[in-house]
Amino acid sequence: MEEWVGERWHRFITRAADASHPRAAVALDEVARAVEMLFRAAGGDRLVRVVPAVAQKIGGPRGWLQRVAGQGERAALSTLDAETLALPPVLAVFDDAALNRDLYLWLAALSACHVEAEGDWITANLNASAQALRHFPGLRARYRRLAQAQLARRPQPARLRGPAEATERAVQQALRASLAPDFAASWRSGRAADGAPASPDTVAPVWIWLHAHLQDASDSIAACADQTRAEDSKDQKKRPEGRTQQDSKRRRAQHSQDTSNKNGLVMFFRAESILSWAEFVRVNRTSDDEDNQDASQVADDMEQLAIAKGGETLAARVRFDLDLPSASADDLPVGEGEPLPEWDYKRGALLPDRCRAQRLRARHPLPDAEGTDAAPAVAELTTRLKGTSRAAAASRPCAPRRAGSTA
Amino acid sequence: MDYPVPRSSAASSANSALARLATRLVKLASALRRLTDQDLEETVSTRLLVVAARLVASGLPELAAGRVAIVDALTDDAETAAALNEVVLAAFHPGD
Repeated sequence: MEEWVGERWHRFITRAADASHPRAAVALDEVARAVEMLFRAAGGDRLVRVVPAVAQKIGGPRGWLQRVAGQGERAALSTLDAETLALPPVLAVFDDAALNRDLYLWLAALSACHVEAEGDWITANLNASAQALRHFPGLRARYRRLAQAQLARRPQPARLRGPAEATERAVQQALRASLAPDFAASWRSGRAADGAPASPDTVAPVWIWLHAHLQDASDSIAACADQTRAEDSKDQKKRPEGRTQQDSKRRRAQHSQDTSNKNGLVMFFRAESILSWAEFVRVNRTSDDEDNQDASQVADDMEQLAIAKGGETLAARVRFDLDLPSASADDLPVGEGEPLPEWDYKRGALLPDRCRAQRLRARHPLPDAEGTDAAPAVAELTTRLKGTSRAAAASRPCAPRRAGSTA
Repeated sequence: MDYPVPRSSAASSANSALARLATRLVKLASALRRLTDQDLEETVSTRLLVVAARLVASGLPELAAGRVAIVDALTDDAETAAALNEVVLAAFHPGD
């Protein structure tokens, strides 16, 4: 009963606190082709892949309903790095599906025009917006609608405090400035006066902008490219298909230094503490009884994945379990086997009935072998072997070293 | 120096309109040529641009001319054609 009530309550409060517009939602899959082509047509890197973004921590004020429901803390934001363009898997930001669809296309054009940041996040996005509109003047009307809709969704700066207020004012000022022609130059000259760097983490998401991490990604790629390629190729050769969880979402991660000693940390349960996924801790998991089947869900819950070198991967253990030959493909044994003598080279004597020749029947006989009866041939071979053994025991000069167990 | 005579003025405005159309078509072709070998098997030839310009000169709207003369000539896949139409739509602006 408690579970039933809890489910109903969760469903109710989640719907009540949801600020998105599910009826106007547009999925990335529906526009992926157009997004990819528009991105490349605008001059985007051919090697950049369009992938769904994973939810990350966001700023901005939350209403009391959102606080009760635990919503409004995380959202999938558009991110560009040297390898991927991560876009929200579903966009339901505006109440018009056409506007949400236009937002995907605008983000594709915008990301193609993002260059290494000259200034802060706001200036970089304004420069990229101006460049995108120069490349694609047909997007001007759409951009104007998007910017106006985005401005209508922004919170009042007066209700914010601290750096969030200043950043929110700067964001709204930039959005209004972008509605004027040749806005990048005027913004640049006006921005140089105050010069306060803006952080996107302190304000509500600006859906028509994106976060570019071109330099960070290229650094990490350069540092780890060789090792990653080597490990990938090694894993690809041995990894059984189907068991490894595939997830195309783009997740935030950072490299962690494994500073633990050889023996892993022993975790014991403390009733007064709540265990949660928070930071990288090396735990000895070699004796885990069962896999975590929902590793993807765990990764979704983590804000940032910590990647450390060393240790064994789960896929490697799964590979070990599955890389054995299957018993279902073995041939079928017939009887207990024919007893045969074997030559003992240490004692120099032929020991009777020392080994056996096991007959096997193929589980999946070849078409050519069907219908043939090999039993007489086997009986004849057994007789000849026994005769040879007796002759060898009588004469002894050239006794067989091994009449092994043949199969 | 005075304004050109009306006939010459009409000719020069026609020439400038044609020049703007040519500029837009070339920009569209440049954008679509970036898709060659990855999204498109064939590229936009100059012949296709000339056909599109002739269609516009004969009275067809620019977007329709781009779709008919360029997009439909490049692919017969509906999804690819829809994506190419988005590029055409983004590249053309009536005010330019």
